[in-house]
Amino acid sequence: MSGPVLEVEDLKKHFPAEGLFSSDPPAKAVDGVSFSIDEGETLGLIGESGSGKSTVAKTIIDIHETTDGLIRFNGQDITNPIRQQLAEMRSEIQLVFQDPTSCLNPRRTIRKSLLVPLKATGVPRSEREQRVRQMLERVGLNDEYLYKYPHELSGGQKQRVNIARALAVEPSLLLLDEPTSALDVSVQAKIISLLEDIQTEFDLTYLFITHDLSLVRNFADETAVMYLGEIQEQGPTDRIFENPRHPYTRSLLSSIPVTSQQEEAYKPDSESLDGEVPGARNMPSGCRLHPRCPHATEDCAMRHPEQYDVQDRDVRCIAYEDGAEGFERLRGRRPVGSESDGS
Amino acid sequence: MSDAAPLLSVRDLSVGFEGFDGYADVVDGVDLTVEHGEVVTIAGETGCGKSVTTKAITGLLNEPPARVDGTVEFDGQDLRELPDTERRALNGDRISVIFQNPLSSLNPVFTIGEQLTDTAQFGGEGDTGILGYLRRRYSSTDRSAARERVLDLLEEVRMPDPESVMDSYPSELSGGMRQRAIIAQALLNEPDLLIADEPGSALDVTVHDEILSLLEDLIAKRDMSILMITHNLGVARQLSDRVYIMYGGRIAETAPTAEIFDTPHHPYTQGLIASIPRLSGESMAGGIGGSVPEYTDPPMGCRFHPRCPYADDSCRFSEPADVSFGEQARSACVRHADGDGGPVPTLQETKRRLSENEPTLERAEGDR
Repeated sequence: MSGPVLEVEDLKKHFPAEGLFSSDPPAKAVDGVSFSIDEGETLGLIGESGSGKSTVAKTIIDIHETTDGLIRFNGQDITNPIRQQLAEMRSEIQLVFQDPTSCLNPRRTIRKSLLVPLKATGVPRSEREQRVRQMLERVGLNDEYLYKYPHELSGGQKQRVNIARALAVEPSLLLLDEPTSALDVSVQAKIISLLEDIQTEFDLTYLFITHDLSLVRNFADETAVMYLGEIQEQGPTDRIFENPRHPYTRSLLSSIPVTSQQEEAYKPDSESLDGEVPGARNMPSGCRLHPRCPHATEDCAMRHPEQYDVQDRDVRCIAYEDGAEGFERLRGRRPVGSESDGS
Repeated sequence: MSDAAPLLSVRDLSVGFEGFDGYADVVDGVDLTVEHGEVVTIAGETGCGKSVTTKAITGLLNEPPARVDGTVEFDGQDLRELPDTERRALNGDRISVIFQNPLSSLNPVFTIGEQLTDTAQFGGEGDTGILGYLRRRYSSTDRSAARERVLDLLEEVRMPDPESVMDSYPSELSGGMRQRAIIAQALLNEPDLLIADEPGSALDVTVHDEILSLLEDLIAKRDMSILMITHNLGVARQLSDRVYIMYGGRIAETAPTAEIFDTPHHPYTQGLIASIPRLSGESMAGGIGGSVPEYTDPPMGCRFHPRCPYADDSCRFSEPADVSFGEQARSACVRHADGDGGPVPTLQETKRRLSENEPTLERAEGDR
């Protein structure tokens, strides 16, 4: 694979407090996020609600203005793009949202909805009809759907239309913001296999945002786990699931209800977190996880952890300050080095 | 356990609604039982009729527009025959319900303490009349005894700082705390049957997990039966003794939990289980094509046949009968009759067929 399609460096998005005289601190929805995705690869961005994962996608595509940091697409700086650049960029980067219904205009037929991006990117009129049919067929819907309205379609079918619409402008990067979380599992599997097929067919690069860890496990090459605006752990998907390092990743994994004995082996011993995610306006001091972390020490409240390079990945936890042994010490175990202790 | 009569026994339950598009046949001939002390789950995807089934059981459907048929026997008495007042007296006392969205089951203008103490004091009494209510509401001995009970229970559901929660309004609590308050409220009158509709599924995974482990502890501690509704098979596996899989308003299959995950019999259950993304990274089958049936015009024969990888003419024209697999397991599929020896179809075969299934064009008719 050639170089990174998307590079994000120290991205920050702070929302100022509302009200003219409000003295509330800004909400740091995204606070220093860096990652890059190579061509044809998928990066899974995991997080609970309020972690800032959707804000990352929206900032990349300039729905939100970037507060600080750098976004590069194919080597070109697209941070806070000017008008001309924006039009260009949006034909290369497309976003698929979570709720398939609210993304479609209820008063437009599917055909009309699909024509909009073609018009906007200046596809000649003579080609448009042909392209609409092609895209619809590619996502597994036949011609009968052209003149239907969104309410006549099921959730899965609507999401297919949304994917077709994103593909219509021939993008190279898709930002998928929880594309299947509103769907049932049997339909979700269909959409995922569709996404996999079109990825190879059109050589697409994906940023896949979700709260579902098992889905990322099946779908993403790299995984980044977000909590309160920061990436806590990032590395190759297989490695993260076989040997999760960050306490947050570990507790996320241990809290999934699974459906087979075999999967239980992938869950670390119960390391549940206390309480719930605090708001982005009253961020804890030091490590953002420390009020909930079962391994927190006094140090965690004082010092904000860096991202430490631990063997195959980056981990943001001070226990890893001097390598992988630190965390095992914290848990009162003998260091096991790189061996997987979850399986 | 199976000697005594079951606590809840639903026979041939059918629910339909009269709508603008005609009559929607949403639940069709559901049989289910919950034994004393048993945790039973109804699992299924959106629109399979699982919530409507519980609403029919608790008598929360307005008739009309709903049309309910069949018997719902709770501890020997037919709930559908009971006069309204007696039935209402059961709800909140011997039968409690936890609904999916904690915010909409709490009254926003009363404090948690007010609401829960009211339940503790008046739950299961049916209609007390306004004077009866006021007299006891302001009788300090009665009220403070009830308040004590509420506090104990909040303690038991591991509510952080129960005293101050009592004086909080629902909007001041986090999602997880609201869910705990709801669970406490449901348990106040020590129900024999707790019906939990997607408990905690609106919450984040880490909080959801805490709610589930709280429920697990409560199940172990109390002698109560639970009928749980969920779309999440992982939750079903974690909590329940027995699982019903529902599809298109009918029970497709039921079996003890371990059995249904190891050796599912019905093609729908198999497809569903094969479609779940796995933590182990095991490849998912390609999912099940199409979507849940339109209830105003449900498919003839087996309601799953338009999406089933095994369907042929026999599925189109005959309604499948239940086939027993052991004492507690049964599955409704005509294919079961084909097997000489082992059960047919098998999970592997279903997985293969679903994965091979090329992304064919979805038909506009009959697949919604």
